[in-house]
Amino acid sequence: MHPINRREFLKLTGVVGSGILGAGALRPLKAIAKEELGRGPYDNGKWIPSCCHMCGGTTGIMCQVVDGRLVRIKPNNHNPVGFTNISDDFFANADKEGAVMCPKGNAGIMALYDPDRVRQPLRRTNPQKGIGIDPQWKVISWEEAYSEIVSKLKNLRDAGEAHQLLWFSEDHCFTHIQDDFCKLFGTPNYNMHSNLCDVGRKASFKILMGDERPLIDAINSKYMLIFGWNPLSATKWSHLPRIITRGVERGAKLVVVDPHLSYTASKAHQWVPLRPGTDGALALAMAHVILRDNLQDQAFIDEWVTGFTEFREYVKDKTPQWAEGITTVPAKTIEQVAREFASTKPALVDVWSGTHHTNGVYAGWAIGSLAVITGNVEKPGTLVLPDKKGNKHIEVEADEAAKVTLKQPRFDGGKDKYPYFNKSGVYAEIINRLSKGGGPYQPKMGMIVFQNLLMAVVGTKNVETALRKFEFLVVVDTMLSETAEFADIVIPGTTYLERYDLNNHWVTWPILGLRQPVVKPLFGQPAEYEFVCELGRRLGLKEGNGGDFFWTGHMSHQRIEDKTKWYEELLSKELKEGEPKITLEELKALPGATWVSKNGTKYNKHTGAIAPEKVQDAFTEGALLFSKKKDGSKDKQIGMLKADGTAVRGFMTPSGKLELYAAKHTGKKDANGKELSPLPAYEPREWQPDDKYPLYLINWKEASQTHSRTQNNAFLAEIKSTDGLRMNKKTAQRLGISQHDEVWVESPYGKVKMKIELTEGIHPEVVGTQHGWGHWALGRIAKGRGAHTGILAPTKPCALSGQSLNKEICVNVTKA
Amino acid sequence: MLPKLENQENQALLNQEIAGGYFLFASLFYQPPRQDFLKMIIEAQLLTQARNIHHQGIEPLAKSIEDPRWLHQEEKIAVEFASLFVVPGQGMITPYESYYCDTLIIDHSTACSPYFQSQEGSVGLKGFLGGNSNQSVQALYKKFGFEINPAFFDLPDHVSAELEFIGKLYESGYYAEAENFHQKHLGRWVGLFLNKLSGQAKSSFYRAVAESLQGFLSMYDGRRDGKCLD
Ligand code: SF4
Repeated sequence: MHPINRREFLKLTGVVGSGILGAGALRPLKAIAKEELGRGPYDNGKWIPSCCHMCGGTTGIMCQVVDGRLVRIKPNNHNPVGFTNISDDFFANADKEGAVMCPKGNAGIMALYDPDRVRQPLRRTNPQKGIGIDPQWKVISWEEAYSEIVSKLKNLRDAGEAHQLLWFSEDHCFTHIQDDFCKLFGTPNYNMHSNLCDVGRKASFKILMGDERPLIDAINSKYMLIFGWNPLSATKWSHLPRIITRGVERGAKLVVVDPHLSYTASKAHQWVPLRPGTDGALALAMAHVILRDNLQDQAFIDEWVTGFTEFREYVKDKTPQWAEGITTVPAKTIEQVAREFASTKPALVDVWSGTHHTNGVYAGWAIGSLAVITGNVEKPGTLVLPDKKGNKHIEVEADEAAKVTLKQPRFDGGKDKYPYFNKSGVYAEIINRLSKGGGPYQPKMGMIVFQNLLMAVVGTKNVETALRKFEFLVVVDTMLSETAEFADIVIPGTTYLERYDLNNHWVTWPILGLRQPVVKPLFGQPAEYEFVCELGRRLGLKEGNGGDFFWTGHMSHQRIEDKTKWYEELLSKELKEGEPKITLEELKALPGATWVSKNGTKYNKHTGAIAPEKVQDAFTEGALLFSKKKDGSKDKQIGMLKADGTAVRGFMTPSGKLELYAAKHTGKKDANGKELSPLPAYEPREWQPDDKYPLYLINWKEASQTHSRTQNNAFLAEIKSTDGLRMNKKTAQRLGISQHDEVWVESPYGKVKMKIELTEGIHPEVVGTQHGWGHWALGRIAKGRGAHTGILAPTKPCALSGQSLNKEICVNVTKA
Repeated sequence: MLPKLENQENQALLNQEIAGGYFLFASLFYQPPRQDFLKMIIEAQLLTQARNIHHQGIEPLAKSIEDPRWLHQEEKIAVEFASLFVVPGQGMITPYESYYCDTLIIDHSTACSPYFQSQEGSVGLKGFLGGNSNQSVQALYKKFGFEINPAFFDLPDHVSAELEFIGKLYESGYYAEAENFHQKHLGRWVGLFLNKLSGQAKSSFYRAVAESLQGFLSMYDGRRDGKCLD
């Protein structure tokens, strides 16, 4: 080695500075084209309308951006989501009262500026995968990341194994393009969040009403009976607390059935604690009282309900005394609530994650039946079926190669196995088949976008084994989640404040709110749809007609290099062909970047007449009317013919009516091979407490966090930084446990240590905690706070709907 | 104190050398050193060569970076680089000015609803990315004719960008501005950052990088007191 002189030193370091190692952090300003400098919605001090995605609520927000920095988020008064779910309330009051957000919505700034965000693509250097094993990450360039992922995908497709790619995505964000990618690539295995959330509820209401997501018209209600749901705090859309409290202000009675005195129960007129998983029995006993005392709405039943006789017969012996033994709810309380519910009009009844038990679908059906027999459907103040019309997902047609692998069965068994299969997939079945080696084939590659399976699907050890089975796993996320630690490559994702989406959920009439980038992606990373588009381009994926889906502008029909512009055209196309019939630019220009249909909420839609020309054109089957496909065959159900021959919309069930008895269940079996019940029958849930594990363990959601996703958010950590195990004081006394004692919570599947929080607000046979704590990764704030109870349960799907069963756990609690 | 030489030409050369030193350190934080760069450092003894601008006897540290054994440890250094500066977790030492120096003001008046009347005052929180520093350094980069290279895929107040910018200022003869930028930006937090780094780095490579940079920056003595001067 020869020491160099000063001039040589300068030369060398100069080389360093000018980028021998890459381009360097800075470049001369003149390199930017002039027009780029002023481009984009990032001017100083602007308020940019958008939609929240701290949870799936899609609440309208306004973002103040100064010098390219987001400094404040407030509610968007132009978007009904965040104010109300019925149009007359919105049109009359939104300007006066203003919309709201929940605490998580306010905390969105810290999701964007979280110091623990994933900033660069990472590749593991340690081939060993497992909880607690350091992946030994290495930063790689975007080019390296793309080439490696594309080469793996290409190998799969070239080998005719495209179906061996499993794709998982979050809900309410860029789902269409991921779905399209899967189709064009050739995998039938696209999965999406909903399976972890309300697929059980969806199945219940699909059987009963033919619609998966009726919404409560709380403002107009006079009686609200809520089973297993905490809508005042576990807000899924931020107008929920407002519409319920508004209903109460206007004189409604609020009754909450829940083993835990949730925030909602604490604000209710009456809290009815019950044993977990017995909601169905309680609902049937209430139906018994209503029918015994002749409190049903017979005229409504005669016109719009099928299977009433069978249902009445079935509930004859489901007396309050019978239910008391099962639910622990005193018979006189059952009588009182049932009578009040049936004699107060309008009334509503609903349930959400209370259906996360093996008997949850029938329980949800029984709960919904209370609305049906009392005529509380589709009227103001009852359960209303939303008129959900927004952007249109334009169907793509796969090419011949993709069509071959698309014919492969879904890895999770799909609708052949699950009678109420939802296209969001069956996560628990996937995990079980991966870990135990079952199923029609073994998937080789996984793509997990913004999902944390290790925390979201119970049976953590099993999920761990399953994740290890992928030969190659890519995780796209803003945070290095527990699941990301199993990835071969991690791709930095964008927060909802850095990208587009179209949102049209949670209200009863057609609206559409725009989520748009309020700041540029912080680390210059592509938005997820651009990432997917780049994969599609590099793979050369084509449509069936040879079209270049990922290159061609969907409005201009020109080849577009810029992926953001390409996606903007795709969104414009969806808007143009959907209900709003406007372009993306036109949507941006609307107040609050929200399109709101002037038609408003329509009640009693089932009575709406079908136009004579449509009836003429329809495909008829019995009393049902269907639209026709091009070849004249049966397409979608559009209505029914009543006995008097008039054609009305009816309900989208096999009878066109509300179904207390589902004839189509006859001869059908669930995923376990058990005959389906044609009635919302009560059966005890499968896992019951015993001597060894005598307590029910439940979990719930609160306004302070979303699922297991937000625990690293510094603002939210200020509100609540962990959660203990809630236990009834009497139970604690019996077990010799005191306030703040450390305890072992143990099941046959594992044990966790937790801190006791004594309360009278929980059923004495039950212990419970807020879901989402107990991270061992995710970030410096989240790590090590609270306990993850997912390790205490098996990974199990509901045999009807495939819903992941996250609440069926029994445990023993002992002092640590 | 910045080193001062009698002769103007020499002074200019020294300042160029300082620029070179900044580029060198900027590169070390920009990404893990590839083989060619390690080879150059080692063969040309780049850090030792910068001795004229080193203070407090950092030659031994420089020597430890110039140890030929690193040539065979490119992968190990890359993994440590990721765990120190990129992978979120307890081991990460956040390399941004905003994280150390900025306060995010939380505005209570976030809702327009009568149910949520705005309250007086505001509270603040430290430890986040993309704060005001980001904007101010970016404005300065722009003023002197630079912008963040899109291939950088990172934030303007990243330690590498700030180091490189000071280097650019020295290179172009903006000595006072360079010192000023050090005082107003890099110097406010880099001490804290480097202290953490030398305490946390597992390998002697990044410990030596931290300590050498500390020594290099000791020309600004008095301002490098290990904490943000905000
Ligand atoms: S409920 Fe809260 S977190 Fe969810 S979308 Fe609305 S404001 Fe955001």
